[in-house]
Amino acid sequence: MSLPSDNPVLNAVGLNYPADGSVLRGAHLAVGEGEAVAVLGAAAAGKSTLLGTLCGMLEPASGSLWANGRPLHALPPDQRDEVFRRRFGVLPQDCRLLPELTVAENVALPLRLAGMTLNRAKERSRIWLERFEIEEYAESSAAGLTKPVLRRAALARALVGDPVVLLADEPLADLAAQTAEATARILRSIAVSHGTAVVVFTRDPITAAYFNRTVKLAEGRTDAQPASPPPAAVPLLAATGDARLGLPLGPGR
Amino acid sequence: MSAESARTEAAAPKAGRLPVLLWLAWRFLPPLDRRDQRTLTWVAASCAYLAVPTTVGLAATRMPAITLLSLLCLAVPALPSWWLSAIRLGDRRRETALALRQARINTRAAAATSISRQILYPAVGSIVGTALISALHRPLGRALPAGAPLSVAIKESSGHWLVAASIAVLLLVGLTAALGSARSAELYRWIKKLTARLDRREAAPQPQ
Repeated sequence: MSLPSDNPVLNAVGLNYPADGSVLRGAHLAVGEGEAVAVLGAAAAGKSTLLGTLCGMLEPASGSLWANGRPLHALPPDQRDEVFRRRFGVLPQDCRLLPELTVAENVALPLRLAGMTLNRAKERSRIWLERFEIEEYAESSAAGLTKPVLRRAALARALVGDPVVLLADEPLADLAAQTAEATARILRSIAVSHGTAVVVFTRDPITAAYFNRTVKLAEGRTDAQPASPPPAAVPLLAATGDARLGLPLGPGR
Repeated sequence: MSAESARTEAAAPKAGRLPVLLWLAWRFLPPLDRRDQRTLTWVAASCAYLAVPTTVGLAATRMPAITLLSLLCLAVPALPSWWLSAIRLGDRRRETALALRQARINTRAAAATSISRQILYPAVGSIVGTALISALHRPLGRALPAGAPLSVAIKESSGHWLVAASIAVLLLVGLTAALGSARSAELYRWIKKLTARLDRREAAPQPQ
């Protein structure tokens, strides 16, 4: 059984999806600052659904989600989306770039949307492309990229905004063994150097072994123990979250 | 640069998102490859063709059944290419919107940004078609024999050709977007599967 982080940046408690719990049944996940965690589960174990609920793409039927001590489940949808957009980097399994733009423009897009100028955003995106060793594709169109390059470019795009949490679905899929190892090393080093909580979803035990801790997911349940939500945030949950969203109370209550 | 300072810098918007979204919408307009170019040409050409009967129908003061039937028959040749190219255009729009959402653009903004080409190409085609019929309806009306079904609509027009042309453009752009929807694509694929199954059944050897 995986032990939760003492001071989790991301703390999911008892997530159920959908209401009958047929995909996720009370999944817990707590990830601390600078921690790189692998969520290991077989096909159809609920990995992509868990990722979807953690990054706001899917709304859990019940459970609570905390980021840096803020109860995301209790926030109004607009504010919650803003937190997800600014603080979370996401690499979906079917990652896509805009084929009309170059790779550098694609990677720089989140920064441009955050208000950075084109030149500065491109400069920052090049740093990430160099880090993932795909800088020679910077000015290539994103239309004809091979899957390994596409995946690393999408990882660079997820990380360019310096997120607090990175959620990556099979980030090492399609990569050759050497490249996969190098990419895993980069993800681990980002966790340490940037304090990013890295969560990798995979069905491959070899991929999971690259990361600091493994949480097993089977039939919608994780083997992780729930971490208590911060006590200071509990009254906010009681005042706004539960009654309005119909979510059950966290285990700390 | 420390992690926290970088985060603060990224979080502080220096310019609005609107110029970036407009720039993206602009970048989505040119065709990406030959297939894309073919789709855009077909959708524009189909809308140009369909704009003729639509504008005539909207401008007519009197619409006998035979005239309506003639206008429908006139529209028929362009319908398959219109539907097919609208579906392809819709598929591309949905792919673009998905890629935009992955780049942390919210659903509404992604939908609005990705729709640029779905509006522009049908609009250009429709404008060309309506301009042509608006300019040529008088000589056409004179050339048509008095008993021709379409002469009623063309000769007895309300005179508000500009209004009819504007409505026709809006109607064709709207209908192209509707035909490009996921449901329309599903319907097309279902029809295609059904016809393929019927073809196979016909080709099956008959028992002696």
